[in-house]
Amino acid sequence: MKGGASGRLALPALLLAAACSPGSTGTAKCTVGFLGDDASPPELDILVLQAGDKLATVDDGGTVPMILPPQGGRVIFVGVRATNVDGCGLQLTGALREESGQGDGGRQVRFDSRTVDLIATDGGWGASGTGAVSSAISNFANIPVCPNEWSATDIYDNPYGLEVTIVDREKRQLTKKIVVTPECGEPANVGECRCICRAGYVLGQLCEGSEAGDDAGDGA
Amino acid sequence: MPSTSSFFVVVPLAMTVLGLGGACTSAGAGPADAAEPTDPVDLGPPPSGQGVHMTTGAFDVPAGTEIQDCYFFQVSALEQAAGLPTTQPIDVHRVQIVQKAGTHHMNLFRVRTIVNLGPAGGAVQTGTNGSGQCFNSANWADWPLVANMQQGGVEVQDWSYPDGVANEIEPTEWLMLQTHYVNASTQTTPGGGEVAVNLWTIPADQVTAQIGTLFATDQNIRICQSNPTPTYTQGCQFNSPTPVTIIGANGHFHSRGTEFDMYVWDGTSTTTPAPSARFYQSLSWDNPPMLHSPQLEQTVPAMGGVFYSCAYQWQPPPSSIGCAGLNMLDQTKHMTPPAQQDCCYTFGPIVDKNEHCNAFIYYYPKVDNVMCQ
Repeated sequence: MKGGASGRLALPALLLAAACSPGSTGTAKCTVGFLGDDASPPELDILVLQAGDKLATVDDGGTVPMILPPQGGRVIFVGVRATNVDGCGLQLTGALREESGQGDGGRQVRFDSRTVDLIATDGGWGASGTGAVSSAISNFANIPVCPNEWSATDIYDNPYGLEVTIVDREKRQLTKKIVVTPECGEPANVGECRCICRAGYVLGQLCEGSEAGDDAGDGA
Repeated sequence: MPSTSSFFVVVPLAMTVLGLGGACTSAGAGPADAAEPTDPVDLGPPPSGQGVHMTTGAFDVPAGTEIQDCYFFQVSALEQAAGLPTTQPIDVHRVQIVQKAGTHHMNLFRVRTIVNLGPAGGAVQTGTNGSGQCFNSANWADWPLVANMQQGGVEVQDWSYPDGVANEIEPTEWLMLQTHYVNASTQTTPGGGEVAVNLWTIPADQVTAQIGTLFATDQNIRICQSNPTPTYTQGCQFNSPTPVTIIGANGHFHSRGTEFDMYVWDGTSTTTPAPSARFYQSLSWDNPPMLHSPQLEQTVPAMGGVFYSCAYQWQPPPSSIGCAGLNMLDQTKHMTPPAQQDCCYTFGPIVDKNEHCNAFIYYYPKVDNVMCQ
């Protein structure tokens, strides 16, 4: 069985009770502090954001959802549940890598790296934040996997390496690598997803029933 | 010498085009390479048959406003005004840009897919304080970059590409010159705005390589008071089985930006490359360096690319906006619930309210596919 994202975290009020107070005067600071035991090595579980703003852990052999983000295409939103690290100003890097390189450049990779604050959960652990997807996505590595102009195989239904690295402000570092199978994670637009994520897709190519390669946002 | 004696030619869309090379010369507007102009009024057109000229003309930037205007030029009309054949492409080899002080940026694009912004909407399409289609980047998502500047002072760019390198542009194409001036809290425009551009050409038989351009932007940035020093990193990969050479680069962010770095990327690593691989650094948000050849000629290995990162320092917003203003924008634009609003600057064009992380790269030979993260 492709395990799938294994288990939904009960995101208690954990994610609403932000560790960092919203404030309005420019004085708030991240207060989550150190999580766990600073004499012990970091530990982490990999989290993925699913359609409908659900957060789930993912294990080796599991599936990960590809989601339509505001910037278009499809991304895998990857976060962590971690301990024995500073939960403030954590550098989070997520990457999806081909299991076997079939193109000109060996094992191709897509990645995203960003600085995030974790939110304290329990037992000395903290997790990536969430909430409304459009606001929480900046707290997750946005691994851009489609349009697929980079991998020689369909992104969906094929195994890829998922690599997650955290580095805290004191340079405590941990990388976890597992094998996952991406899937189109939103039933409402599976057709377009499978179109732009298939091997050989060409940017601008129209997908049946929808326009591919859309984009959003405000620019320079 | 001021080019006030230059001809103004009305072309389709009532575009103001200064491009009558010979006439300009004989009329007293000196050829553009006679001296280094520092005022756009003084940038005359290239001599007849040697290039095309574009100008916005002078415009006001009232206090408290950000102006972003889009000017459309049809290449064949520019060619006609410049004494060039209107059925042949131009091979741009040298770019001259002169702007008045206060500019936030200028970008010159080749028009491609029309969404809500195009020449049919008028020769000049204006935007103010974030409103208007000239502010919406989705409108030019697939428009290739031709030239750009990001400096805020009285700035001049005069760049000749390496021998034989050119940017071939068809006569049927439209160009869009976008200018953004700010006269607000974080930048000021003392004397109105104006931009002038010359695209100098070389004969087609001298062209040995096409230039390629890359405009990469990280749209999921978020600079918040409780996470005040974030760094965002992404990469772009040239789908080229042979090396390419980067010959131009600049970066763009707003006033919370503290460091913009670009590195040669091997295309497979996910950690920051060695310092020796860094070919660009900007520590000045309002006057970022524009590096170009011959000082910048950086080889990228086959299937390699550019690894770029933007670092920020959160700052309180201007009192006229306040955290309440940023939070309101966060809520309306990103649906961020009140419990997660954190006085955050998010991706967007308004200097006092938004942030950017945009990388502009020029390289050759051009490749068909550049894959950005």
